[in-house]
Amino acid sequence: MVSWLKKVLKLNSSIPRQWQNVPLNTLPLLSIDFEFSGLDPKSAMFLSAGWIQGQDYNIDMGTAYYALIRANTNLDQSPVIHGLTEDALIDGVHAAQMYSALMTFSDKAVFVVHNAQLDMVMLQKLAQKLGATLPHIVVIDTMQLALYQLNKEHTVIPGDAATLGACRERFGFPLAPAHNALDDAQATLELWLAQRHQIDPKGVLTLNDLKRTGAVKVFGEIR
Amino acid sequence: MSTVPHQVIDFLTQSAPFDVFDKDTLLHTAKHTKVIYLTEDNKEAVLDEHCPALFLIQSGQFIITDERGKERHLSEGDYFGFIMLLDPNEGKMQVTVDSPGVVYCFSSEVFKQRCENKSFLSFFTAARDDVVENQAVANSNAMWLYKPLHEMLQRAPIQIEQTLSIQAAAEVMSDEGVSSLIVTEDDHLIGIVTDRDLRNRVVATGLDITLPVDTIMTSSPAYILHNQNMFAAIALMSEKNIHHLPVLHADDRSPVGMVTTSDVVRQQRGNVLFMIGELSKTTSLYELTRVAWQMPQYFAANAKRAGDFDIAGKVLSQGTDIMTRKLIDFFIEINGEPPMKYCWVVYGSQAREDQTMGSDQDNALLLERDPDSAEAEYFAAFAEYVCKGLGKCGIKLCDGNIMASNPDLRLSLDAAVKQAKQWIRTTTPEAILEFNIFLDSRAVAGDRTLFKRLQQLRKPILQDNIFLAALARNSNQESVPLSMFNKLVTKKHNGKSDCINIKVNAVALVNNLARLHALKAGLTIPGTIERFNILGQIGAMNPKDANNLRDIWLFLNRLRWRHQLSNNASDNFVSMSDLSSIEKHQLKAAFKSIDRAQQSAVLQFSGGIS
Repeated sequence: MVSWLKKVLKLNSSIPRQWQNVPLNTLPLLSIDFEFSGLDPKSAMFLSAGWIQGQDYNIDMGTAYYALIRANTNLDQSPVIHGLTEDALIDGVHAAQMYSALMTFSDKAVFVVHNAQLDMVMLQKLAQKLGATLPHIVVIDTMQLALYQLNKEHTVIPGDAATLGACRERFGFPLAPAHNALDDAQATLELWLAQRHQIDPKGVLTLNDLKRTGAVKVFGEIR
Repeated sequence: MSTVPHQVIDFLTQSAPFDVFDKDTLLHTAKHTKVIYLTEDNKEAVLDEHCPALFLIQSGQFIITDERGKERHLSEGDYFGFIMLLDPNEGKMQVTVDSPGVVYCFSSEVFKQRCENKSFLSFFTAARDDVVENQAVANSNAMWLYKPLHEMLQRAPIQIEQTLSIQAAAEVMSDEGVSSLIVTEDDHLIGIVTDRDLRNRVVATGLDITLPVDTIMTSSPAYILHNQNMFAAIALMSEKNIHHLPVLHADDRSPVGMVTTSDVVRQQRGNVLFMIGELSKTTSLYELTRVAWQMPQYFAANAKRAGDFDIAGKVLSQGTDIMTRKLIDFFIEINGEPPMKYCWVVYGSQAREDQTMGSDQDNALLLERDPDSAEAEYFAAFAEYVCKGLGKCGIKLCDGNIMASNPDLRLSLDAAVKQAKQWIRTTTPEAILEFNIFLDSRAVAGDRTLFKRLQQLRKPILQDNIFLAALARNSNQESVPLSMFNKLVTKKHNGKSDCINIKVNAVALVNNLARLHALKAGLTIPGTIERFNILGQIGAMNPKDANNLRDIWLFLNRLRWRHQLSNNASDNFVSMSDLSSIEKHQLKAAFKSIDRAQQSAVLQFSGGIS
């Protein structure tokens, strides 16, 4: 399993140069979340996707994206990147459409994900299925960052301490009932803002500085 | 693509005044929202980037020194930034972050668009002006009941001198288009004539229409003074079963107008006042108790609107007054007239006319002089009968034994004055707790001039500065249930974890303030609303403050009655989950106002020593 993962993910530890020395407070961010039909990457399907953009300490509600993914993906239809109609929403979009829309951000933003592993494996699989190659994507994993902080405070980390809800609770955020992928994407981005304030209150750190926490990961291949 | 996270819409829906908008408007608002993590380190950059803007706190605690220099401690659900939006000439606000959190930011453009909705706008103007939103109270369909009669009267009185003929009287009525006429002697009321009198006493009997009008008038009719309110007029008309009530000026008793049933009908939709008429019609103890026991059910069934809650306490108190008078009538019928002048006096909530379902009876007998043993026996039996009778009518006996059936509460006028002198000498907290209830008093039956004499004699005694200072300090012992950061402090009650005792922690505090200022000003009326109305009018209080406290009292009282009637309860523990989002904001604003008023009362009355 581990070797398979390594092969598929082609884990790459070096951050693309364009991001390396960018201060955290100017990084363009895209927080993403998905819902899947299961937890096993071999059989699971995309059910929905949600994301939202932010920068510095702001989250811009106008950039929110949410789509249900059509279960029976017909890849012959031409993918429409923007301008999803209401009807398309009701039926859901093709996974290919969602993928294309998301990949327009791959080199324009750093992705923020809570527990990135499964999400990125699923994206990798989807890319393969579409005959594409997952481009280089830099991810900040808020769960890894939380674990880094918890490790400093505890010798044994309490179970469930790293879930999105538990992490948010430690920062005094309201307990939002889990809604959908977009809600979780926003919740994740809020969590990142609070985490960032905790580790970098003066706004002096860069993405490189964050690497030691283990929360910065690079997925995909350099094109 | 028009989508936003559900939680953003949910949060706006729960946050008054955004809850006034439909889904599309909320979606539009949400899409133009910036969500910010506000910290001590980034606050300047954030404010520079976004101001002027409206900020809504979702989490965290902040100390805002607003555009007018006022410091506010704020937390979830609170707003800031709106003063600059409403008035661009105001200064800058300062933010201190106590604990960082998520703040929603709305641009001035979005704010302006939403302000096209009047209730949205008035929410923020009220917050800016530090008043509980008056609109909610003003909208109440019962406010007219509280207005003084002289503000309600449509026209000058139509009157005629007693020596003029019946025909002349009928001509005046016909010309003026009125159904009743005040008959005067030297400009003073001596009788009234109605359409009905002309029909029954003139036409039906073929009476000579050139006779003077005083031959057919009703002499010495019931009347009401111009500074009383509509509610008192209606209660009197219901009790006496009359349709026309002359209004006289309180100072010189000159006629100033006439209240008629049609005035009442015009103003009043079917409401809880019906009970008063029913009680008045009873002729025996059995009938009286039967009607009285229906009151709670009748209230629960009929009090649905805010306006009904506003008058429920008055109706219940008026009802208790009528029960008392009926019981006294019944006793006198059996046992004969009292051996001396007496007055039945009520205290506390019945005196203030803000009884609730849980209120018990607080009453006393004031006697002309010390009775001999036979007289004492008569009044003992008298009091016993009335208090027990009230108990049978569902007005609980008083746990503290503040009832006329207690011999200590059947004092002569002299003894009552002595008692007041005693009060001002012993102002320990325990003593104040004991006599506080007597400071709101009202005559309900018997000889009212006896009570009036007591009030006049007591007035200067109770204006004693040291006494008032002690009262002010004492009422400052209880404070409003609001935390440093503007959160409601709740208690557990009956399995609900989020309750506030609206009586002890809110209504009683406002009552205390009204009492304190009224004693100082020498006002003898007991009602909290009436006290504030007059205190504002005569300049004993800043009218704005007096009106604000009056509105707060009405608001709190409304919450209390709604709680009691909708939960079929007689306690005062209002659950915060029963309140709408806007009501929670109003409650917080009310608490803040009460707190300020308490502080300034301590300053005013005891030179700041608390």
